[in-house]
Parts: sequence; C-alpha cells; structure tokens
Amino acid sequence: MLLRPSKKDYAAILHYSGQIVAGFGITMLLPLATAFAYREWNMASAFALAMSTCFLFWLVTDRFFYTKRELTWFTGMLVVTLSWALAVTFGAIPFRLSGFYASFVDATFDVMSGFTTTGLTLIQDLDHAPYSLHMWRQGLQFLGGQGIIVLALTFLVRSLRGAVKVYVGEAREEKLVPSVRSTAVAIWVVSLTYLALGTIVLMIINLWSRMALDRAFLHALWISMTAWGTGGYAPSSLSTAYYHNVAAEFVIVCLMILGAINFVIHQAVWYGQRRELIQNFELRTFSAVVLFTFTLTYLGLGRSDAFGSLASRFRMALFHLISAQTDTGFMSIPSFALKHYWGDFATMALIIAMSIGGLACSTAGGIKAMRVGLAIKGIVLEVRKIMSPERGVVYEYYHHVRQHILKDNQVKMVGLIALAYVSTYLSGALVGLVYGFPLVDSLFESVSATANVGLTIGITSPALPVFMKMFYILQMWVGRLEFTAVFVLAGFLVALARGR
Amino acid sequence: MDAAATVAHAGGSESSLTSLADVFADPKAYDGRTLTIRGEAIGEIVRAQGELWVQLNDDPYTRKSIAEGGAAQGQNVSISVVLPRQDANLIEYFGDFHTKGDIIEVTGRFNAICEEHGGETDFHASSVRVVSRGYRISHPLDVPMAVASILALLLAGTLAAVRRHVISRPGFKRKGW
Repeated sequence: MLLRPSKKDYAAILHYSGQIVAGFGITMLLPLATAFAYREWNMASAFALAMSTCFLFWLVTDRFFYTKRELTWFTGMLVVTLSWALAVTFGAIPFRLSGFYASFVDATFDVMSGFTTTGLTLIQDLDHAPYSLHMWRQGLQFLGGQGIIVLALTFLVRSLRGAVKVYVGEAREEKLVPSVRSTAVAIWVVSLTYLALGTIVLMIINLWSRMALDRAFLHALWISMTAWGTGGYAPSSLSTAYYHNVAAEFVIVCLMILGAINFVIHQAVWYGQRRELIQNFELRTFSAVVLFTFTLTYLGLGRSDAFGSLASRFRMALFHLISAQTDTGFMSIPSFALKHYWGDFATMALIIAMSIGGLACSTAGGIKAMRVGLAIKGIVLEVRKIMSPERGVVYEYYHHVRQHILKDNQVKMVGLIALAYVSTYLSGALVGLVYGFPLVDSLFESVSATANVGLTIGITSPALPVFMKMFYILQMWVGRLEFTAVFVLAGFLVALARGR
Repeated sequence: MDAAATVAHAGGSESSLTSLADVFADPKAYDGRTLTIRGEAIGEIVRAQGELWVQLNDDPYTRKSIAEGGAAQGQNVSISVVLPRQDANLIEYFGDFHTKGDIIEVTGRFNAICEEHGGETDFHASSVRVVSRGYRISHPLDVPMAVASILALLLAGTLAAVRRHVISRPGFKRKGW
C-alpha cells in the first residue's frame, strides 16, 4: 500500500532542503570574491543576487516549515532530489545573467553537468568568459565531485536529523568513519589535500610555460578542481590541449585516477593500510578494466592508421582512455579528430570505458568497477554452486578494507543498477537516432552524459534541440544519483496520485 | 568549398583565407595543406615542447565577443598555432574577458594529427601578420542588476538578523511541524 506523504513530511523535506540550499549559497562567496578581485562588477551582482536567492529560500522554509522531525529514508531521498533540483536552478542564475548562455535551459544544463561532474557544456564564447564565471564552473565540478549533500553535512549536520539518509541518497553508500559528519569532513580533507598538491605542481609547470603568475595559479587551480573532481570543464575551448605539455598531462592523469578511487581506500591508505592498494577487490577490478580498455583503445588507434608513431598513439590512447574511464572528459584533441580519425573500434573502446567508470564512493560516475567485479563474482558463485555437491555450502569472498561475503541481495542490486544504466544509455542513443545523429555518435554522447563523463563526439552544442538538452540533463542527474533517489521521486509522484 | 581552391599564400587577401569552421567540417580535405587562417589571439603565448604556441579563434566572436556585448552565436572555434620564434613578439594583445586580442593572419600547415607534437591537432605557422591591434574592453555597469542584487542582499541580511534576534531571546521555544 502506498502512503501519501503527510504535511509533516512535506515540512521536513522543505525545511532540510532549505538548509542544504543555504549551504550551497555560501559556496558562491568564492566566485563573488573572484569577481571583486578582477573587477567583474556585473558578475559580482549576478552572484550576489543568486546567493541572496538561496538565503531567502532558506529563510522562508525555516520560517514556515521548521521541524525537528527526523528524516525517514523516503523523505531523506526526496530531500536529495529536491535539493539537487533547487541547487541546479539557483546555480544557473549567475550563468544566465552572465550573457554567455543563450537560454536558462542551457545554463541549467551546464550547472547539472557541473554538479554531476559530467563536463558537457553549452557555454558560448568560453574564451572571453570572466574569471568569476570560470571559478563557478570549475568550482561546481569540485563541489559536485564530493557531493553537495556532503558539503551541506559538513556545515549543517547538527540540525539535520537523519543525515545518513541524505548521505546515502547522493550515491554514497559507504561511511569512512562512524559518524556522517566526520565522514563528510574526511572527504573534504582528502579532496582539499589533493587539490592543493595538484595546484602547486601544475602551477610550477604553467610558470615554466611562461604563463603570468595569476593565470598560472588560476589555471592550475581550475584544472586541479576538475581533474580531481573528474569533471572535465576547462578554462579554454581547447580543453587541456591549451597547455601542450606532457608533464601537465601526466599530473592530470594522476589526479583523474586519484579522483576515481573510492574515498574509503584513500582513508585506509592514509591511515597506513598500504596493502589495501594491492588487496582491494574494487581497485584490482578497476586496474583490470583499465588494462583491458586501454589495450582495446590502443589497438583501435592502430587499426585506424591515424597515428604514425607508437609514442603519439600511446599518449593519446592513455590520456583519453583515463579521461573516459575515470569519467572526467578532458580532451587534448578537438571532437572532430575523435569523430574522423579514431575509428569505430577505438571509439567503442572509449564507450565501454565510460559506461563502466571509476570506483564507488568516489568522484567518478558510471556503473562502477565494484559492480562489475561483483557481477563477475556472482556469475562465478552460481557456476560453483551448480558444480558443487547439493549439500555443500559455497561462498564467494571479496576484500574491501576487510573481508566480505558476497550476498545474493548484493548481486541482485548490482544487476538492477547495471540494467538501469544500460537502459538509460540506450534510451539516450535512441533519442539521438530520432534526431538524425549516427548510431555510434548517439551512443557515445548518451553514455557520456549518463556516466557523467563529458567527452563529446560533437553532438552537444548550443544548437542541440531543446528536448535533447532536457533528456541529457535527466540522464546526467539519474546517472549521478545512481537512480535510487530519482526512483523514489517517481514513487512519490505515484503516491500523490494513488496513495492513501 | 574545394580544399585546393583555398590554398593560400603569405599575406593572403580575404578570398584566400580559409575558415577554421570549414577545416573542422572536413579535416581530411585540408590535412597537411598550406593555408592562411585569420583570427583572434587568445590567452597568452605558451612555451611547451620546445615551441611557442598561441591559441587562435576564428569564430563570430573575433568581431564582437560576448564580453563586449555581442550576441551568443555558438561555441568558440579554435586551434593551436605553433609560432615562428621571430614572430612571437608581434602579438601584443591576447583575448580574454577584459581584452580584445590582436587579430592575426597566419600562413602555415594544418595538421589534423601532428606526429611532431605527440598527435595533437595544430597549425605550423610559417608567417604571422597582425591585421588589427587588440584593445582593453570596458564593461559598463548593469545598474538594474546591481540595484536588484543590493536590495536582495539587504532583504536577506535583514531577515536573517531578525530571525537570529527572535530565536536567541531567552525562553523562546520554537514551534515546529
């Protein structure tokens, strides 16, 4: 029996969403400060207006929907979906007011792409965009990598009752430490540390490349934000090709891989469990998948005859494969080169890499290496059960910080989530086909959106039909939240119509 | 457009210019050919792989960028240009939000995949000519937006102060749902 939400449920959803939106509004201080520093007064107005809107929303919900009620799983999931929708809407205000987006849909597209760490973009004239706008775009991907709920929990957990339910709702199934707030803080400590390291190293490289001090710093910061956040936004229309630097590419590759690693593994290694790097089942699965997809990409480029030397083939295959596998989306070549020179074989290898993605509880998207590994173990388990004596008890183990026994319901969930991803990949491809795009191109872009990658074969542009933009927004959203919270939203709508 | 017909010579006239949009639409037709392209210098000169590089944009924003109040007309069309060392100092202004970059005309070879530079897409310039000098862009204040933002900030600040005052009163007990 479906129960229609009560007024108290609505109050809890709005009250806690208001708090999360207020936390989100605070983050606009960074681009606001940038706007002041670079005398971008109109952008300062835009950010002040958007920030005020966030605070006013919080004040209104706090006045009229105040509650001490603890969140249930149902209301917690709805808080996540509503908070995301509100943050995307309010976050799009400065984008739209900047004049660099043709419509509010385009601005919303880029905020969703930022939050979900996708990287597909509809911004126009990026190369003349103000620094504060770059700070906001890049910052969105850094925040989105950690999760906006994680951000809010860091500031607001004392008044957010039932925090674990919103934490899990944002596709974060594992806690690093027992309390949710400590977990949120730990995630920020890890992220800020790698951000600082990446910024320092890339800044040195940029200075060596003769960039001015402030631009060397800002470019290093922005690229580190989106490399660690596996987002893929860049401050130049050339993406990472702007730097032409193999050393910078190496640093970016390292940051992308680190960003795609489970926060739990980071935490374990930080606290001295270095054997986890060798023993961890998910990391081993990820490494095997990377080796497999890299081999396919490399062989694919060989078949296409586009690259004469092994070195350039290796460089291009490695950078773009890691960019795809970690669901980042940086490109050091224009999309036409991907379309005309890589060939279908290498392109399909990238599609496979994108669809699988990085590790669970990381900044990466996609089906996730853990699920792929568990699915394989599930199949092995079933075969072993059939081949064992009928009274025998057969188990499969895997190591993830400690030993776990594979459970049937885990395999079932893996199957369901993987099915949901594949269905969404195919739905997006179908929409692309309806609008006349070729099959491989449509599938590539659809997987890129759903798995929150951001590599483009050239379909995504401001000229894209509005329906396709909306569909990609939806794909990015469900892909990032890993379906559950969005399914609950669907359940909520059904309950509104048919519940008691 | 026939690729052969667009092969240009140094200091080429308007008719001998090739647009980057045409090149990117059919890169195989232009790959390895000598062309003359024109566009805005962006960012700065970057030193890497023993070369000096500049980003050149050939799109509607070379005439009027959004930063100057121009209309949104699609995404940037850009390419990396390897500059001859002696010509690098010719460029003084580089485009960004505050600056209109020099419009330069570059003759050289287009490489869809450049083996010399690790498989990147680039343009090896043999000559560079500055067509028009860039300038600083002034940004007039959008007064209605500034007023609206100040009013919104004042409203939010006042309401937050009132809220804080009310809930911090001794003995105040909040009623909730």
